[in-house]
This record gives sequence, C-alpha cells and structure tokens, in this order.
Amino acid sequence: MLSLFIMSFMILYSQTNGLVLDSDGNPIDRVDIFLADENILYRTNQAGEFYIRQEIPINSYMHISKSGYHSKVCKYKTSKDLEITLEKLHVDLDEVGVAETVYKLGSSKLTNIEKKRINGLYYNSMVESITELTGVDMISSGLGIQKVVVRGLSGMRVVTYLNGMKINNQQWANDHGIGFTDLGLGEVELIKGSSALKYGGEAIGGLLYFKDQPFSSIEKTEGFVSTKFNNSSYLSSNQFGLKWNRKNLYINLYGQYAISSDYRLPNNDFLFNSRFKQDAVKLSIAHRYKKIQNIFRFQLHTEITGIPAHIHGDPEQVDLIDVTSSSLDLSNDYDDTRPTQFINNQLFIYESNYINDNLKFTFHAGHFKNNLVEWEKWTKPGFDLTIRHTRLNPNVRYHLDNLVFNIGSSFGVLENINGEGDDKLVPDASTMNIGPYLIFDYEKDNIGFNAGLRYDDKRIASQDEILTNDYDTIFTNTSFSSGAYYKYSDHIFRVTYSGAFRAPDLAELFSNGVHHGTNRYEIGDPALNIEYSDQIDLKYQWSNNHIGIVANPYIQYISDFITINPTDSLISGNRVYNYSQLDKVKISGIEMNLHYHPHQLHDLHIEQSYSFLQTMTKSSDYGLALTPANSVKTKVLLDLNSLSFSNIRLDHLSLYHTYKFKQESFAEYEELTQDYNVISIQLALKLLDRLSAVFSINNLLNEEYSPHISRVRGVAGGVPNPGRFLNVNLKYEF
Amino acid sequence: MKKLNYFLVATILAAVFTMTSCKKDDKEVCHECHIALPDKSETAWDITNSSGEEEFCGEELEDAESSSYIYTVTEILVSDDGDTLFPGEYGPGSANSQYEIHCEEHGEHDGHDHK
Repeated sequence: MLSLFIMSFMILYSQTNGLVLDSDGNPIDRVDIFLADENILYRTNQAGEFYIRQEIPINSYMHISKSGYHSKVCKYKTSKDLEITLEKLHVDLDEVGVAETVYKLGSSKLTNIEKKRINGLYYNSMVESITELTGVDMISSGLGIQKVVVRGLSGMRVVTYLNGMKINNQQWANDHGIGFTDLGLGEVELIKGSSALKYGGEAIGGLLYFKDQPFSSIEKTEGFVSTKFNNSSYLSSNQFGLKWNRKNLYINLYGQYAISSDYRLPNNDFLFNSRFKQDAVKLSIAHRYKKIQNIFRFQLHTEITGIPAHIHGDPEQVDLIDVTSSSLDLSNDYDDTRPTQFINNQLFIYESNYINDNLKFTFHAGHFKNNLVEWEKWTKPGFDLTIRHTRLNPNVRYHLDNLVFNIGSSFGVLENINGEGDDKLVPDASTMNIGPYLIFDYEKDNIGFNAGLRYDDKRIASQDEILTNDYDTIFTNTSFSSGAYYKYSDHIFRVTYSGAFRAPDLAELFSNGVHHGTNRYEIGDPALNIEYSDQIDLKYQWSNNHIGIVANPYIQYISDFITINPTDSLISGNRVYNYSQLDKVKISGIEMNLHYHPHQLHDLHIEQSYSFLQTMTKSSDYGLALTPANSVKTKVLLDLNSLSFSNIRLDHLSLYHTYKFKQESFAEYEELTQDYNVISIQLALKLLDRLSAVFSINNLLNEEYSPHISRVRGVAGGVPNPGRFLNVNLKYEF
Repeated sequence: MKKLNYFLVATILAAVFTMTSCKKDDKEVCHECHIALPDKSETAWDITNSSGEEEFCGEELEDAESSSYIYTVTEILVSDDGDTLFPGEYGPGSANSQYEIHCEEHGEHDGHDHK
C-alpha cells in the first residue's frame, strides 16, 4: 500500500502548457486558472504562462479569471497547448450571475444561483458580507450571533452546506448563529427559493453552499497572517493560512482566534453580554492519482457566545439601561458571563472524485457534530444538546453532447441527544432521510432548459420520556424544479418553476420548555405536518461595457407554513409561544441590480441593488414575523490602483449606503419599524508589496437604528445596532 | 526568502500554540445573587451569603441556583427602583416560589448595578 502511494508521486504525467494574453497580445500575470472539477488553482507567471503537470480529463471545466478582465469558462477538449485571450472588463456583475463562472450548484443560466467571493479583509464578518447580495438580510445581535435570511425566510428553511456537508446546528432558533466563520473560505453560492434539488428538497427558503479556497498548484509554501480590530467591541480576530503542494499532494491549513467584548451603541453605552470568543482550526488534504482524487477535510470550531438583552420580565417593558453598560472594563468584559452559549462543532468530510472524459463520479461522506450548551446559571447548564449527523452523497454527472445528467442520492442519519441540563427543550430523537434525485440540463448556443425530480423519505422517531406518547412518523414527498433561458444579443431571459417541501423539525414538533436565548417558553405540536412550497422566479439581465441591469421578480406560495406565535400565558416569567401551521403564505417581490461604469471615469463603479419583498398570510391581516424591510443598497467604488505614495499603493476607496424603508408589514406580536440610513466608508491600500490594509468607518453618521429582523428588536423598544466605529484589517501574504 | 517563510511558519505555529494554551487559572466561581420577581421589568433585591458578604461562592452558589433553594429575608429589602420586600422566605423551594434567585450579571451604569 505504502509503495503504491510512493509510486504515485513518481509517475510522470502529461503536461498541459498555456498562455494568457490580453486583447493587445500582451501576457497577463497572476491570472487564476481554476480546474473546477479538481478544485485546484493554477496561476500564470510574469510571462503569462501556466503549466498543468497533471492529466486533465476531457470536459473538465476551466475558469480563467483576473480582476479587471472578463472571466472565461471553457470545457477542456484537447491536450494541446492552450492560448487564452482575456478582454478588459468594465462592468462586473458576477454576483448576480452575469459574468461567466463555474458554479457548484449547477448552471446559473437555468437556476437562480448567485455567488459571493468571501474575503475577510474587506468585511467585519462573513454573514455581513453575504448581506450585500440582493434579497439577503441577517438576524443578529452584534457580531456574535448572526444568521442569514433569504427573501424573508430563515432558520430551517435556509439550508447551509459547508464543503458538501449539511450543517445542522439547532438552526431553528434565532439565537443560534451560523456555526462557523470565514476561515479558509473562498466563496459562497446561494440559491434563492426552493430550486435546490441536489442538496435537499427542504431548502424551501434557499440554499447556501460555502466552499473552501481551492488547493493551489505551487512551487513553494504560500500563506498569510491577518488581523482585525475594531473600536466598538474591541474585537481582535487573528487568522493564519498555509498552502502546500508537492506533486499530487495538496494541503491547506488554517487557524483562527477571535475575542470580542460588548459592542458600543450610538449613545456610547455597550450592549451587555454581546461578547464572544471563537477558535477554529481547519485542515484539508487532497491527493490526485490519475483520474481519481481524494479529499479529506477536518474543521474544529469552538465558540463562547453571550446572549445579550436577556431579561426575565416583559421585553417590551424593560428600559434600554437595564440591558446595557455605560463603560467597558476590558480586564473582565471579554470573559463569559451569563447567559452564554458554549458551542463545539466538529466536521469531518471525505470526498472522492473519479473523472473520466464525459463522466464524473463523486462520493461525499460527512459527519458533523454540534454540541450546544446554554448556561443561564453558573453551576448547571440550562440545556445541553448534541447533534450527530452523518450523511452520504453519491452523484454521477454525465455529459452527452449538449446534455448534462446528474443522478444521485443523499442518505442521512441525525441524532439529537440531551446531556445534563436543567431543561430538556427538545427530546432525544433521531431522523433518517433518503433522497434520490435526477437532474438534466440542456444548453446549446443561446438556449437552454433543465428539469429535475427528487423524492425524499424522512423518518422522525423519539421515545423520550418527556413525550406523552412515542413518536414515529415518516414524511415523504416529491420535489421538482425546471428552468429555461434564452439569450438574445446582450439580453438574457430566464424562468424557473420549482416545488419543494419541508418536514417539521424536532423543535417544532416537541419543544416544551424555557428557551433562555429567546426569553420564551416554547411548546411544539407533534401533529404538525409537511409544509409545501411552489415558486416562480423570473430573471432578465442585460449588460454592455458600461452598464449592467438585472431584474428578478418572484412569487412563492407556502401552504401549511409552520410558525410560532405568542399566547397570553406566562410560565416562569416567560411568555408562552406555540408552534402552529398557517393555511397559506404568499411571498412575492422583485430584486433589481444596476451597475454603472461611466465611460469618462474608468475607475468609478456605481452599484445599486433594490429588494422589495411582501409577505401575506391567508388567515390574517398581519404579515409574517421577521420579514425584512425593503431596501436600497448602493456602493460607489473608486479604483485607485494608479495612485501611489512612496511605498504605499492605494487600492480603492468605497462608500456603502443602505436605506431600509419603514416596515409596516409585521406579525401580530411585532411592531412597526421606522426607516433608516446607514453609511460606511472604506479605504484599502497596500502598505508593502505583500501587506494589505483596510480602514473602514462603519455607521459613519452614528445612526441609531434597530433593524426589523434584529434578534433584539423586541427588547426595550429595539436595542440599536452598533454606533459609529473604526475597523482596521491587516493581511500579510507570503 | 525561504528563511523568511520558515520564520513566518514558526511564528504562526507559536502564536497558535500560545493562543490555545493561554487559559486562565482555575479559581472558585463567585457571583452576586438577587431575589428576582419576573414581573413586567423584573424587580430585583440584592441578597448576601451566610457570612453577610455580597458574593456566593462554590457550594453556596450551587445551592442558591438549585430548584429547592430558600432564602430567608430578615430585614426589609429595597430594590433599585424603590420596591420593598418584606421579611419572609423566598426562592423556588419556598411558598413564595414566584420569587426566583438569579446570580447572573447585568450591565453597570455609573458605578451601580441594574439588578
């Protein structure tokens, strides 16, 4: 076995050489040549050349990209040397699917997939960066607890994948954050709505697929160290990363340590217990042997997160002064207090790929362990929940002329186990899920369509003593998605119709206890049944060298929508909330993007996005809870690449403005939220050749606002988001 | 350059080691506690331990947070908001079980606690 392993390093493979030029025939250096199926990144040298030492299977997707140039996607067809020409780019709309790129989740022409590069240097947090996408918001209380909202839906309806493994971390509650940081991540893909067949019919609100940075084909070890600091919560977040490659073996290693105290409000008080600590280590190893690639990934993420704005009385009756401090004592105010969540996430992934011309076989095996312990007292936890989730995903992709078939299945086993705690909010229970699917895509010239079908069988069982009766129920249903696009000149039209379902979650079925993170006594209903979603999504896009426009109207109906509503009762000072189902919910809206690049000012980019969303319930005049307010987001970016002072080279100066409209559509127990403006500015520069620095002033006007979907919107009339603060991010690459 | 890279790698690993090994010494956990009435805005009265001190430590803290704890008030207590609590037995194990014992911390303003 060992000798076989050593032999694999000694085999000399065929080599592919390539050259990347601009439209004037000049070589372009540092162009990314990304082999998407192999997840390996190559880069051109100063002469614009690149060398791929390994055999590239026919039909492998290659993504050629560099900032400032039109990216290209091509299918590898020949072993002859490659010559690629990249044209100068004026309008970059890759985040809304205009630019050519490779998507993990399918063809963006046929499905509403959006992509966001994750570069922690420019953002305070990963979730915050994702909210720049149209139609995406976040439920948060500071930087510690943050979770993504897609077109007004969140929690169990927005499914999160990390490198092919579904993340289940008690995401039913708004005080349970996303469960990992931007450490080692390269980009995230997002499907809005219920079109994500391959990754589960339960994603009726959307699917987030986070991908690590690719492995790199490099001659010497590369890496970085980075640090972030802000003067709001005195955050200190430090990361390192290393990439190593010898012949067929690739290793990526990352680590992070972050501490943050309580964040500063616009009135200069601090939101008590909004503090957090995060540690993470991530290791990825890949090995290629001819047409077979094996990848192993491990990630450990621990988090100690305070639950701010915790009160025992009526949240609306308390005063802001009851949940804040007038000053910070940094010798104590980084330490955990109560109530606090202790989170330990361990993720193991094994991925095997066999690529042979028209065929790609992928096998994913993942195991995710999430331990969430919530402490309100000092000497005994309130609850101690562990999820163990194992999942297997075989998939075969086959190219037949202009057709691409994907056939596969997912098998999942999930256990929910209670440890020692005062309460047992959710009982010991298990779920088993099998979900075979078939998807085909057809694309030729300027037209394409796709269709897919998925059948899910999910069994939920619990014999926990806290239940009156044992529970054993099987939920089955079929999900489907179909889409078509047509390209006429610079105009692209696309329509997608999808139907999906979601079985109730353990918390929705069985909850019975105080949930300190939300100040609620929550009661589930074992009689809850499946909720069904139907969605139509249209997209029109047009761009030329100076302007790009995207319009994306959609409508979604969800029947038997599972919701949680307050009652008049109080238990232990906590209001009782019951889970129930609404007959029908209608979610509709339009998202638009505009990117303008004035011809006379080549370095100026103006991007604007509009998100208008309306939720209606058939049975009442009220809207859905936690519906984000309509918004207009504007980014003005001035590229300063041409300017330098001494050794300092300016990169860009940007201004980011968010306007949130007044939210007049709200649930029975919510209140109207006023409109607000938030402005942030950012200056990015290179202090040295390898040292990048970003200085940002967030909430420049020190606006006092509490977003409608803030986790602490209902406390003290709305606990404000952070006031004006300075952020300094540094990154040294070697 | 290669030397620099090895130096950086060593620095990173040292930093990680330092970060993960830098833990505070174990010490006895002590916290202030109060009787809390979870009414509209949670009225709170500070209490003292068996020695008359503000902080409850170790087993005494564990007892105070237990579901059978009874605290005996011997003199009238006055909350920050001016509400009074008359002498008697309070806590989850007492006849006045609607009065809870909380030992969690709250933010401070101008040198005084809010509950």
